[in-house]
Amino acid sequence: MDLNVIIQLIVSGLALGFVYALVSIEYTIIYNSTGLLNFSHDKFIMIGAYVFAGQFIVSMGVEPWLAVIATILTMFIFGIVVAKGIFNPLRNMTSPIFAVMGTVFLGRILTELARLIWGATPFTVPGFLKGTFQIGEIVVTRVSLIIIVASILILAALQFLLKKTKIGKAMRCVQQNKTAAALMGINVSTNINLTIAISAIICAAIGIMVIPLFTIDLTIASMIGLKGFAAGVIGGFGYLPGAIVGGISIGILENLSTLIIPTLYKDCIAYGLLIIILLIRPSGLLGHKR
Amino acid sequence: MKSKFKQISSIVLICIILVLTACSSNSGSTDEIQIGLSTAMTGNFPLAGERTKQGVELAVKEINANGGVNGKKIKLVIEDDQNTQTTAVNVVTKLVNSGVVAVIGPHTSGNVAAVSDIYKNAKIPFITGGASPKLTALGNPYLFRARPSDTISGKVAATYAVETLGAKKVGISFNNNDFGTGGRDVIKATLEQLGIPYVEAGHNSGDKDLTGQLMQLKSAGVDLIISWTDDAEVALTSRQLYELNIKVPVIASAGVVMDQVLNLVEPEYVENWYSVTDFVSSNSRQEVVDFVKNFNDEYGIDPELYASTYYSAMYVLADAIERASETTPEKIREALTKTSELSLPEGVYTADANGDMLHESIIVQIKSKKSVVLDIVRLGD
Repeated sequence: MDLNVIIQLIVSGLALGFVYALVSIEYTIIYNSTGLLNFSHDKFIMIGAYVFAGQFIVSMGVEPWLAVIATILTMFIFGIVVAKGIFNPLRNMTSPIFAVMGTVFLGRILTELARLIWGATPFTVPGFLKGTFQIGEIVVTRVSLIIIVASILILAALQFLLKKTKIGKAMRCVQQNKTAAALMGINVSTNINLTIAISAIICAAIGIMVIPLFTIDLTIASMIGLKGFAAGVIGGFGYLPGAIVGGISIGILENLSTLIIPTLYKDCIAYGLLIIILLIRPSGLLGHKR
Repeated sequence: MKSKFKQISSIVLICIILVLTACSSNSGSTDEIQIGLSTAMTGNFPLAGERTKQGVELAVKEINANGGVNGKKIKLVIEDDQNTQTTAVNVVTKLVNSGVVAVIGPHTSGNVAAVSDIYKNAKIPFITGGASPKLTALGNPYLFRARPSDTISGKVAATYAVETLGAKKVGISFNNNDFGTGGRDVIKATLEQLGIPYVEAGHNSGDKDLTGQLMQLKSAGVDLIISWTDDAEVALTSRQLYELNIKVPVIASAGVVMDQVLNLVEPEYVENWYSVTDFVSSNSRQEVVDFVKNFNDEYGIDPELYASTYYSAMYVLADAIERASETTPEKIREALTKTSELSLPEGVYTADANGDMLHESIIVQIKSKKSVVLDIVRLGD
C-alpha cells in the first residue's frame, strides 16, 4: 500500500481528531463541574460559527481577527446567561432529567433562533483560512495546521488555568465536592457560571475553525458533536487527557479505515470503537479512575 | 431526539391542516382551474422551494394574462412540504382532496416515492423534477417528469467522459441516497457497455470529510471523476479535490451549476468542471433568453434549475389542459401522455410511456463560476 496515501490520511485525520478532542473537552468540563451533560453542546458550536460568520463577518463586515475576539466575548456572555438561566437553576432539582430536558430544548431554541436570524441557506466565508502547503507528495491544508496549533494552545491554556490559577483550583474543588468547596468559601454557582462560559468559548473556537472545512448550516456540528462524545468515552469519561487521546484516535482511525472497508461505513468506526471500548475497557483507553 | 420533534411537529401540523381543510370548503368556482403545488418553502431546502414557487407563479401569471386556459383562469394552491417525506405525504393528501385537477411537485425523488401512491389512488396526475431512475420502477401512470431522468443524464455524463474527453479509467464519487445511487447505477452500466474500467467511492449525505474517498480514487489512478451528489457534498468534493491536488477533469451532476452551490466554493475549486444539467441561464435558445428576461423583470434575479423546471412544468400542464376534452384529472392525464414537441425553457417536451417528458441534457463547462454551454445531447429512446 502506498505510504504517501497512509500519511495523507493520517494528516487529514489528525486535524479532525483535534476537533473531536476539543468537543469532548468542552462538554467534559461542564460534566465535571455540574454533573450534567450538555445535550445542546453541538448547538453551542453552531451558534459560535453563526455569530462569527453570519453576524460579524457577513452582516457587519468586521475584520476576521476582530471578529474572533468579538465572537469569543459574545459566547462568554452567552455562556454566563445559559448557566444562570438553565444549568444553575436546574442542577439542584430532584431529578437530573429536568436539566437534561432543559439542555435539549435549549438546543432546539438555538437552532430555530439561528434560522430566524441568519436564514436557513447554507453559506461560507470566502477565502477564510484558505490555502495548502505541499510537503513532498503530502498536502497539508492551512486550516488543518491552524486547528492543530490552536487546539494545542487551547489545551495548554486550559491546563494552566486548572492547575496554576486560583480560579482553576476552585473549579477543581467544585468538581470534587460541592459541599466542601462551599464550606471553604468558594462560590459554587459563580464557579459553575464561569466553567460553562469557558466551555462556550471553546465551542466558539471549534465553530470558527471548522468553517473552512464544513459549510455553515444549522447542522454544522451534529456529526462532530456525536463523535466528540464518543471520543470522551473512548479515552476515559470525565478525564481531560483521555478526551484528547480518544479524539485523535477516532480522527485517524476513521480515515485509515477507508483503506480497508467501503468508504460508506467510515462513520461506523467511531461508534464501533465506542462499543468495543465499553465492552473490554469501560474506564476508557487511559483507564483513569475518577 | 430530532425525529421525536419532527413527529410532534407533524402531528401539530396535521391538526392544523385538518382544521384548515374543515374551514375552507373548496367550492372552486367554474371559471377557475385549480392546480396544486407542493414545494419546500421551509426546511433544509428553502431556496429551491422559493425558486420553484417563483417559476410556477410567473408561468401562471403569464398564462392568465394571455386569457388563461380555455378561457378559464388558473388558480394555484400552494403547500409547503418542507422537503420531508412525512410532511409531503400530509400536504399531498390535503391537495388531492382540495379540488385540484393536477399537482406540481414535490421535488426530490425520495419524496416522490413517498407520495406516489396517494396520487395513484386519488387518480390525479402530477409533474415532478425528481430525477432518480428508480421512479420509473414505481409504474405510476399519474407520474410525469419535467426533468430528464438520470438514466439520461448519467448516460450522457459517462458517454461524454469516454468519447469526448477520452477517459481511460473513471472514478465515480456518489452520494449514498436515492439520487446518487440511481445515477451511479446508470453510469456504471454505461461504462461497462463502453468497456471502460471504473472505481467507485461513496459517501453519505452530511459527510464532512472526503479525504478517504478521494484518496482512494487518486491511488487507483483514475483520469476522470464523475461526481453524482447533492449541493453541500459537491461543494465539499470540489474543495477537497483542489486541496488534495487531484487534477483530473470532473463531470458533476446538475446541482453544481446553481448559484446556491457556487456561492459555497471558491472559483478555482470548480474551474473547468463539466456538468450535465438541464438548464443554464446562459443558454442562447430563444425560449431561455425570453424566460430569463421575464424572470429578471419580475424578481430581479436570474432563474436557475428549479425555477426553469417548474415554470416549464406549469406550461406543460397548461398545454395538456388545453388539449384535454374536459377539465378532469383523468382527461388531463391522457392529454399529458400525448404531450409532443413542446418547446420550453427547460427543453423540448415529449411524453414517453414512462411519463418521462424531457429526453435531453446540456453539457456545460464552468469558467469563473459561469456556465458555458458546450453541447446539447438529445437521446432517442
